[in-house]
Amino acid sequence: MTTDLSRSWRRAAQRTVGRRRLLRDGALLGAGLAGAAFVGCAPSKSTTPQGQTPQAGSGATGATGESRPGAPVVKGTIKKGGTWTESATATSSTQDMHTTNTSFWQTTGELLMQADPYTGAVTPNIIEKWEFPDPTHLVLHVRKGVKLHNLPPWNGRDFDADDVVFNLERTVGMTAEKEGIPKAAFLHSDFFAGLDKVEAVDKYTARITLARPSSAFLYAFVDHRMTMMPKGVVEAGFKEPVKLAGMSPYQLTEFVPGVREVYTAFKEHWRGQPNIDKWVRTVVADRGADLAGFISKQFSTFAAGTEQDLKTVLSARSDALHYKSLGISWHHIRPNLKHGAFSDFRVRKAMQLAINYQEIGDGYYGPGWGYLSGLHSYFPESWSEEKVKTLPGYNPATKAKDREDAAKMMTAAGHDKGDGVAFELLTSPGWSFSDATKENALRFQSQMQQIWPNMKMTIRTSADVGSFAKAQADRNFQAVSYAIGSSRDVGSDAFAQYHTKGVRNYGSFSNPEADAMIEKALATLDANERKQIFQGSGGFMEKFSNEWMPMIMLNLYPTNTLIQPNIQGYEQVVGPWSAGRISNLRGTLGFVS
Amino acid sequence: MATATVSQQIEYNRSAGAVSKRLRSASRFVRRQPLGTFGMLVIIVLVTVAALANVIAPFDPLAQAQRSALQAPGAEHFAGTDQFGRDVFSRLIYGARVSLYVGIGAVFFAVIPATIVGILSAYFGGWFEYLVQRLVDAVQAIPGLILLIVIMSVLGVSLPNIVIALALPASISESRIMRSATVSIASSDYVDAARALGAHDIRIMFRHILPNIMSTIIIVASLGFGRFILAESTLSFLGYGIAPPAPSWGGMLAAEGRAYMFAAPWLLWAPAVALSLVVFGANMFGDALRDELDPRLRGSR
Amino acid sequence: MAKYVARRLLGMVPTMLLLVLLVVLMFSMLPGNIVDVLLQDSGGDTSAAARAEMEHSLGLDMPIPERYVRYVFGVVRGDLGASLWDGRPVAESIAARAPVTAQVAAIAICVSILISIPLGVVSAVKRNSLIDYALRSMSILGISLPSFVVATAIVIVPALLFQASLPFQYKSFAEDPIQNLQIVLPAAGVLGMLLSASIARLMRTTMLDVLQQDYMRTARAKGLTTLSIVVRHGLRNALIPVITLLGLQLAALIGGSVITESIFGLPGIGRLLLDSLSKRDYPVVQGIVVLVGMLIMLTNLAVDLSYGYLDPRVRH
Repeated sequence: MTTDLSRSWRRAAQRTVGRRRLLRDGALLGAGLAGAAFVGCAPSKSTTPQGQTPQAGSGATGATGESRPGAPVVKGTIKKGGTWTESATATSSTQDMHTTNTSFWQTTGELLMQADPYTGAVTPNIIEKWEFPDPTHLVLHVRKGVKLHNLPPWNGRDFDADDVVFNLERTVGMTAEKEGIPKAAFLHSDFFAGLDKVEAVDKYTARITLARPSSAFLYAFVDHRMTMMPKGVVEAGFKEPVKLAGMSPYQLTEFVPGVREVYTAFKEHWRGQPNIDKWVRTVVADRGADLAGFISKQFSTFAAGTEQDLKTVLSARSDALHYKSLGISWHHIRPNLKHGAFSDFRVRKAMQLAINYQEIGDGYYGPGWGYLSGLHSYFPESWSEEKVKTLPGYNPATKAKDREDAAKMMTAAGHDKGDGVAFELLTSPGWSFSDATKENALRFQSQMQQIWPNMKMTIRTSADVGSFAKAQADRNFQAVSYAIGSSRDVGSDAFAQYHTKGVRNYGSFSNPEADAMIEKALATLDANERKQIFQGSGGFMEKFSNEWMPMIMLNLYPTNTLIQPNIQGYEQVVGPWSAGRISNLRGTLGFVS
Repeated sequence: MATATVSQQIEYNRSAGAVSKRLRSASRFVRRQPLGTFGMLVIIVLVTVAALANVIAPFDPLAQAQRSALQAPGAEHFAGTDQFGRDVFSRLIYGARVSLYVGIGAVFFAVIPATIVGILSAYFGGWFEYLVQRLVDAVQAIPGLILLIVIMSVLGVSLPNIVIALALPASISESRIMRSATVSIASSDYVDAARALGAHDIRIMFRHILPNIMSTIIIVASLGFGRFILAESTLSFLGYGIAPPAPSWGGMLAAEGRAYMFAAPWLLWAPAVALSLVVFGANMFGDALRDELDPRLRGSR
Repeated sequence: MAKYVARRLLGMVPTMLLLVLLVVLMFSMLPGNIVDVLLQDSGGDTSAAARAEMEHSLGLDMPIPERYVRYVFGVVRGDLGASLWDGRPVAESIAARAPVTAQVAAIAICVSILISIPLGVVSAVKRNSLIDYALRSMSILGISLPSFVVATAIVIVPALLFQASLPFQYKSFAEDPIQNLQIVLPAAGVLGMLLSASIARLMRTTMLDVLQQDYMRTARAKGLTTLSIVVRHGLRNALIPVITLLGLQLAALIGGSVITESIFGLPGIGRLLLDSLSKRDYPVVQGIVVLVGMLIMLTNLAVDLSYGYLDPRVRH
């Protein structure tokens, strides 16, 4: 259950929204906003091979059952039956997948395509193959025999091209006016930015027309929030979730708001009957109960937030299976570039050079966290962890010298000993337990003040999610300590975070050169060209580090998932991009005898 | 209304005594109220520790030392260190300041407005009293914790705001206790007499009413003190506690205390002992004061 | 009697109006709204125009006086509105959650009475003895630790020591009485302990007072044993302020349930309130606060009426 609701629903409601965002945040495709920039771009040479992503096809290993780093494999034969129980901090509160980020549809629906959990490569799912006849057209071939749950009015019919059309049209808000819902309520409309038209060619073929070529487009399909609903749900209304048919291995059979969601195995699933009979998600608000519940074998899984949690549980349950991987999210300190000294690149860079990353990462997570600079290190286009670790500032071996350089740089910017650098660091709302963003802020503060004693830095914790959301949305902060999940595509992620029009560019970074690079990367379908834009000399990654530094990245955080020892198959979803893999996983997990 | 009956429990003391009488009553207090005396000592120690925190504390409470993180209590660190390598003992000592600040601050800002509103409301009566009492009814019908959370969300998280959030609802409900303490005095013969002699309203309130409800004020204040300190820790648990890195007992308990309950139990028990000792002491002291100041009980010995 | 009740009920109207006004004002002052929470999560179109459109469609741009008047009329008609998140009627959500809180509260009150009344009586009868000191210390110690610490310990300690714990999958009493009680009883115990300290304290003071009354002396003169005096005469009279206090503690009880429900995973009103507050689902929060407020006022009325039965001298 690494992904989807439960892992993200780790902490209580207030935390949930923040955490949900960290873990499962998908493609925040700002591409739509950049629309004008693409007009007139010549389509690049590439036409992509079937079933392959335009750019991330580099050595993609999509096969399941392969051994992966940090993934124990359980021996033994699976017996059918049993109940999987997981904790959640809430039941889903909104039932229309197109206007929400979390809903039971993430369990009862399936994705059109899915990402390889480890490499991020796009692999088939409901769509068994696809092709780009030319850069502005995409043809999707729907797998035959994808049965819907046997509920009226669907009565177990096949999921078909009409359903694909329904989902895509509604996701981008084409039906907003007709339904009387504000267009902005369709929260994922930007995923498919540039979608001009989608039509069913025949029962199992859908054809998409794009306004312009987009390398990020395909990644929208693997986002965990793009699980499909069948046509007809709008007419049925979303009031009674158990009456809505999905197509995943599990059908929702009991829904008690605030208490539990119970899913039952769907025997006619196209991949065959799932092994486990029942999938129960039960609401537990507090980490204490979560932890105790796993130890006492009430819950099948536990996501350890900290090294300490992990040790505590393992000390009582040394038999638990431990799956470890880097997560999709990165911790950061984001300065507001409109605030005081932060407008000066040298101040931001000096801070980045001065940070002791090891102390911050180890202090909260222990070993297992990852280095990154600017963009998630697992994108084929960005700098790898190994590379980042050798850079000034990040490199533990050169720390002393880097700090000297940092001090000089700060002095050169007119802030000797930190004079005149004053800011309030806002942390995301903390719930009952120590919270990583808060601890990061504290360690950061201590480190900065050791080097620059006159720097005036205070920490403020946001009262709750509403307050924090408001502060970021209004750009009404001086600096934040927070964590955000990457989207599935490097271009769209760079756009959201660093483009002048990026929706998550909360620090108001704006650089024409950066904008141009991002736009170019989004418009090209050539994997090598994209790689060149980011990694090449004078490319995005270099400029980010040496000239821009719009945001100070702290670390990629590790996920530690514990599973009861008699459950097989979890190794298939370990990896930073695992979120979309979950429906597949649900079908293949099983109890061994 | 119901509260009036409760507040009748907290009776008032009419005699404002001379110095010698006070000394005598002090020694009687120590003799008769061993638990209350213990409570008083705890509060005296708290005040002393808070005042001399910079002298007593062996370390800077904010100084991090990652290398010595999570050390068990020992010769160097009496109460161990936390996950940042900060000295827990020093944090406890500085945390006393926060507790005292919250306790005294909230008592001050709760009791003074409560007394003013209570006296005015009982003294003048009429529409003013009616309005105030309806407001008190309305506020008392909102669960206190919810009021706290909303006020903290609106004001933002900071130490002075915690004091305001704790004091504001308390002042409204305590005004009712002050009011009922005032009611019987305001209608008593000698207040009538003072009025007949042409005394000004304000003079009556200050010279005749206030001294007579002093014991009620003292009791309400002493019981509120412990309650507010405890409430600060609950706010910390809910994520509305004072901003880090400042040390507060509630914050220490709610954050690292619970998170490291097993890996580093001293992070839990150290603030827990300090907090419960002070809350216990404040309650015992308040109870004893009430025992001593309540004339109905005094007559019975 | 009927006239008195009617007058009291009528007197509640202005208080209710004031309460709703307070609630509406309070929530309009909270920073951020559901649109901020929704959009932060999605990273979708966060432009001012998009936000304004959504705020308008949810009625969040309504001026406060209008919002107040509409809400009051809604409440009068028995309509508390619907959740901004799931569109469920607020009354329905509350009705689904209220029994959990009510069950815990009822047991908590029983627990607190069982602890505090004997404790208070013994303390009073044995005033200033070692037993008195010990009992009082115990009851005050019980409220000297934050309840979240005690509750967390109850949840985690057995798991680490014995690999066993309370059942965390909530079942209602009707579904599974045993599993229900296994989780409800500890939660009620923690809450009950909180309540018992103040009741015990009050019980002791009242009892002391009662024990000195003339009729008690008479009873003693008649040669009745202390026990029978206390039970027959003392307890009945001492109960009045205790019942008053219980009525007043209802608000504290519901506040306390926010914590215990969170830690024990009980789907009650307290949790719903906290969740809705942080998600800025103000119809739900308003609905809960208004209903709880009504309940508290009615309880106070019931308490006042009960005096008549406990003390024949009090007649309205």
